[in-house]
Amino acid sequence: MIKVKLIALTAMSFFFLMKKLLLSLLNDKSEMLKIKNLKKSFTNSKKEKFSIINIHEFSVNDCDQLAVSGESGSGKSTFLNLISGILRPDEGEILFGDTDIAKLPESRRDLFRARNIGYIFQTFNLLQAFTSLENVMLGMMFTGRTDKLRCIEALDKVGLSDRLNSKPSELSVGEQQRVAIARAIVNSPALLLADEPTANLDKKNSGIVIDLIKNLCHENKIILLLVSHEKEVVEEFKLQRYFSDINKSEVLQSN
Amino acid sequence: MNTLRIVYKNIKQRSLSSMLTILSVLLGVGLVTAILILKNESEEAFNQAATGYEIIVGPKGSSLQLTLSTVYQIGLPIQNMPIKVYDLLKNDKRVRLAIPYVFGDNYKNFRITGTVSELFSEFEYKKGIRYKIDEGSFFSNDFEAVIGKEVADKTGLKTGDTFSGSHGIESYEGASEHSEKKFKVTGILSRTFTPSDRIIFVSMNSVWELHNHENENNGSEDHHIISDSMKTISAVLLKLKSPVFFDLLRRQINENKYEGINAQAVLPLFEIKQLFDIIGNINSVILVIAYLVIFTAAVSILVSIYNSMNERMREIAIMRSLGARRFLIMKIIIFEGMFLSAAGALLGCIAGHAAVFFLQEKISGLSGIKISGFVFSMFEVYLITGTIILGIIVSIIPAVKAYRTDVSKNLNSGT
Repeated sequence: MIKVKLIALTAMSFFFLMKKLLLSLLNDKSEMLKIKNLKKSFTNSKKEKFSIINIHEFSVNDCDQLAVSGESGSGKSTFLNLISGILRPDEGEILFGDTDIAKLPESRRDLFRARNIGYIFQTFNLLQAFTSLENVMLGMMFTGRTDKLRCIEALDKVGLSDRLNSKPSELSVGEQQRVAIARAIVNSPALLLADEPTANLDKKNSGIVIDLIKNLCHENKIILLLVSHEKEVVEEFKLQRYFSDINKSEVLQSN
Repeated sequence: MNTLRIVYKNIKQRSLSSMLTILSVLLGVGLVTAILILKNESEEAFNQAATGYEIIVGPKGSSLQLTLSTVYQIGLPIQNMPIKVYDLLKNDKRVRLAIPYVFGDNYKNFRITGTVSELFSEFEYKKGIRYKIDEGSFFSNDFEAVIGKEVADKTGLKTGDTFSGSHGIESYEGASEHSEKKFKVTGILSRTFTPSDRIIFVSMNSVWELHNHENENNGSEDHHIISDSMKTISAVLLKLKSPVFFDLLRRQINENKYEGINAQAVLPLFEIKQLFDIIGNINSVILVIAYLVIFTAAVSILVSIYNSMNERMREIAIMRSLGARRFLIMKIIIFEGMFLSAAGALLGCIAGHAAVFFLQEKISGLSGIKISGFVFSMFEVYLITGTIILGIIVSIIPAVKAYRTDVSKNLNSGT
């Protein structure tokens, strides 16, 4: 009898463990970006200090595609600049895997950003003197690597293999944003930040760009964190959040 | 893609401003280079032209005028002196070699100079180097001429050709020709790169006879007999047996204690040194101006880069957002300053040499000395290096501004 009970217990334990393992395999998602008690304030010309970011907790899981909506001037860009390490927070943690970006010295933050974070801007931010290919290569240069073929591949992925040697002024706005996307993904980043990527595009190009970003992130297993004030853009995503739910700063409250 | 490519692109993007900056550096460096070449080469050429002899004896007057007219064929000679001076000096035991010069007329502005055959057989115009004949032979009779290489090149005279001299040591409108007496070219000297290249050498008798003939036309009875009073010379070049005789001989002549002759003895190298001391002061002033031009050019690099900083803030912010470190941005700006100054300095150096090269004919025509324009000196290396360092120093200011660029503010992506 005892023997039977032991066998049954062992079988149940094995089944329980297997179930847990299977579940973890099926749901392979962990918190890749985690923010705790993040605060950032600025001083205006009258030397008055005002808080723009006050985030208690925020996280994004591996491979997630999250769209954050919010009004213009609510601090979304500052939020992305803090995550990318362009700005340093007054306090708090920005954990990227095991690395706290907020604690890194500036030069290491720059390298970390170059290697792990892609950034797409509202105004594309392409260098006008450089061709499409050179703009993409520039995105790779600061990681310490140069791989021209990979840059050509990136441009091919965004459908611009025939515009390698065109300068930004020779491209349409949609094409310019696609070059910016190629530049952002060329280093296979773990995280792609998109700051109002469609704000300067018409409806048709806006749809193309959003689809392109989503597909590329999905194919390359890149976390996507997109901020936009456009409702239609945010509604394209399964995961959506209001920036006002994330950020509890006084400025936001007043807004 | 590398840092230099970014620097190149930045310069190319502002091509007009970059070219003007390079041009301003070019002018400064070119000016300094040209002045230095002219100073160094002319000093050397002048000194070399006067190395074949130690003393010039000539009529009393300006010692510099005597040196310039005798050695460099510049300016008018002082009055002539009797042939007796040459005879005495030739037989002086302290004198190794005495070469008389008598300046007669000119042929197309090239001076016809009467001298003796020892000039070709014994005289060394540079240590160990005597005059050589390119074609033909040295003169052996009166009214035969040996011409310098430049005379041959410029006048087209060849051996066997004849020509008549014009009255005076320089040609002028309405100058009468001695058409009754023609010189025959017997030889052309090899190039010496000294004022001799511009001289037509003939025998002293030829010069005297030509002027005797002139007197005959003016009423003299027999122009074939040259009176002693006609036998005058313009100068005597002396090579002494020992340097210890310099001072005594010079003093004897200058103090009129040499066989009663009334003449002066000058040391050509000393005269040239004095001349260059005077010119040197002018050179220094011009050099100071040229250095100021370089400094102004360096400031123009600063202004050019600094002014472009405002429009470049966004570019810098973009590169920083892509992961470029602050020091890399600084490096790019400093490299730009370095490139602009280096391009200006190198092109300026080439321009300086080219300017001297294109002016060499004019200089040669004025001074009788040959300046090649292709002699490079160590100073030019210092000049280029110094200019580049100056370019680097001035670009540090905009580089610091670039270093301090506020990335989030300049990304212009909204807040």
